[in-house]
Amino acid sequence: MTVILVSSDNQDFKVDKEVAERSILIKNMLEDVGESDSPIPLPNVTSAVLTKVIEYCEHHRNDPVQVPEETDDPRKRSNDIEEWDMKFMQVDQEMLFEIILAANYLDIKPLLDVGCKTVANIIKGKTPEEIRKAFNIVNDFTPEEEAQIKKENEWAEDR
Amino acid sequence: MDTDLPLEIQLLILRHITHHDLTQVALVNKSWSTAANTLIWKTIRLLSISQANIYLNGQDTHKRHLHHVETFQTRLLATATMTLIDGSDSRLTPRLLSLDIMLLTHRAHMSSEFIRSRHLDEMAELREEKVEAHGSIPEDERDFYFDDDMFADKATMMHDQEQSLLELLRRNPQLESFKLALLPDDPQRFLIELAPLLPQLKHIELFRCSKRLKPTINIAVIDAFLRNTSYQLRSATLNFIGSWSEDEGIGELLRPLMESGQNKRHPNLKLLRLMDEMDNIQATALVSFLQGCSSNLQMIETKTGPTPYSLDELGWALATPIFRLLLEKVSGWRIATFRDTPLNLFIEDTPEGTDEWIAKMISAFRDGGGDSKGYWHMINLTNTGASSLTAKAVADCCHERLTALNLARCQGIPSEDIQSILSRAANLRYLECNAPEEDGYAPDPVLLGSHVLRSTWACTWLVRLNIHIGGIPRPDIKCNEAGTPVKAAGEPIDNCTLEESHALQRKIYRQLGQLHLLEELYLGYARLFTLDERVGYETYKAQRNCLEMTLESGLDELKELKCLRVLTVAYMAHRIEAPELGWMQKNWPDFHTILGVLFRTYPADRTRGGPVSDWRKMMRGRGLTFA
Repeated sequence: MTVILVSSDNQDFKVDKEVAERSILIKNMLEDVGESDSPIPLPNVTSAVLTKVIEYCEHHRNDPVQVPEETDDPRKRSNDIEEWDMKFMQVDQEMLFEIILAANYLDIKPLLDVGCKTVANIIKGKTPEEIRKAFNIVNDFTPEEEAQIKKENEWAEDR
Repeated sequence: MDTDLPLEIQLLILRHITHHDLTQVALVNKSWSTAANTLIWKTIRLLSISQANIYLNGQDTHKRHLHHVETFQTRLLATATMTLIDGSDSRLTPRLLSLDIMLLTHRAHMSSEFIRSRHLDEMAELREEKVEAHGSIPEDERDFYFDDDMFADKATMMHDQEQSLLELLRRNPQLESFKLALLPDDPQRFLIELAPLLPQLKHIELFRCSKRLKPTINIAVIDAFLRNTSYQLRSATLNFIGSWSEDEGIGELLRPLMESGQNKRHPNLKLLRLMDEMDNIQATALVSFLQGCSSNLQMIETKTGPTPYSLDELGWALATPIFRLLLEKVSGWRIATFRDTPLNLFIEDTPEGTDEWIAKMISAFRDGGGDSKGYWHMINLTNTGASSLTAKAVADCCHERLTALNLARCQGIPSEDIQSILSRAANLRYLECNAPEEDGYAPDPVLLGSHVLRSTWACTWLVRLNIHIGGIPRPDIKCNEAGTPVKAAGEPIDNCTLEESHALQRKIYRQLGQLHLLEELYLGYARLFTLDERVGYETYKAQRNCLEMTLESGLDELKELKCLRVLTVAYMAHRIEAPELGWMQKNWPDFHTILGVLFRTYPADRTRGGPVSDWRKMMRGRGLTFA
């Protein structure tokens, strides 16, 4: 069985139900409407992003359903990304953020996880200026505010 | 283009990075700064004077971020009350969920005086005075850890401190976890006042201080406390000496127990630890607590004797035979001890002590239909012929109520089965798989590193883990302690790179790192050879396929073991050196004893660390007990 997903720029994507249901949002929608072949509009996702998301879901279609997170402190665990996922995430920064936002909206937890870990890996070991550069972020602090934060951070640094 | 992510996603990302990286993110821009600050200020841990100084130094900096604080842990009561009650705003810490007031150390006491005066110079003066008086700062005052006995007078709260603390609690009714090591002026009154203050409380631990300072508390007060405290309570650890009136006879106490009407005041209470030493009468009286708890209560722990967690004499959990009988009657708990296999005392004409027989005993009781169905609460198999059948029988029932398990000297227990027990025994508190060497006894079982990675451990309530983890390739060990190449002595050099070995070890530490309640971790003391192989034993004194215990190999994954007090690494070819010791003391606030650190240059091809004498000195300087 297949379902049709419609991106924000009105492109149709025909995918297997099993693949589409990697998204909890879509899964719930399908359960709510029951047997129906009307297309599902996804007004928050562009076709470029949806293509990527579907590629991910296709690859992971047979993965077991993720067990609830066993710990609330996954700190420093961003180095366990699978190789395929790592390659999949090698996109420009804008696309990376778009994928994360789409994964969040569509409720695809493993994809959201991998996306967040990828961003975390980019942040690691960088100076604030390097982080801004990596993500095209504009510094909106005044020099005084910056000095203030540096002072506050002494506390965190000591730990 | 600036596509900023929503805060919830920023937080998901930042959970993966270190504190240092968080401080960098805090400087990126306003949006990322907000996200980073939420995490930076979430946990406040003030254990040493320098931490307290930095925290309070920026005038009102800490106040600006108080609304982020979820966990506040400190040795400085004054800092806690001053920081968290200051001003008229009663919503200072709306997110505070966990408050942990630890014992004062001398050092912390000095700094609390400093904080009152808020004057750096005064601190410097104090230091100079000490230097003048002693020639240098006395060694014990540089220490990070102190035996609480040394500062007995500092373990008691003044009346005004006590009142501030209660005020602090009154303003934070959302608290879910409260730990207090200090003693109130009047503990009984304090308990009564405390009970109704925290309606959301899930975990409480009171008066964890030295034995001789334990308060004496009337049983009626404890009873009232338990009845009035939070409905949501899941675990309660109370250190006290119970006082009972003498005319409360056993029969009198039994009568209400036999009536069915149980108080459902604490439907979630799973663990009750009453750290008292008891005689028969007291133990019997204690059982009356059971009425005040729901039938969900799965563990009661008490301690007797000098070794609090020794399973050998049924020391904890079941103080006396009478207590044990009562418990069995009231709760349906069962205790199995097949210790030292005099099993023919119980049943004649059985192949006593064999694997099959023990396995049958364990499953028979469990499978008994109707009323005779029960739960094993504790199983002691020390030095029996227990092997794979027994292990499977234990694995099949351990998810129910099993709290303590002793597999020491059961060489036949397969590694897979130990792993499967750890993956299922959700209530396990104590696991012993090692016993000290003694002539004529069988060796201990081993858990292989490769098996550890097969499944996630379920035993997150574990307090004490005494296990020998082996089978880890250690390419860093190339010679024995005499400097002889290992290969020549018949030991194969592992066919794996150091990176591969470290990657494997890191995963094992990660599994261990989930045991957040762990207080004692014994990894050494394993015997690798039977006495017949004595020659081999002499030659290979240390275990060569154990965890390396270095930061490089992933020791830092154990960062969240905040309750850890004792670590044993005897007979292990570990590589613990100065960086590891420093890390342990920084990350484990209660850590005070490490056993089995090698003071020789061993293995002989050591590459890191300074001269051995230096770090021996350092350990003394830090107040660690070692052997």
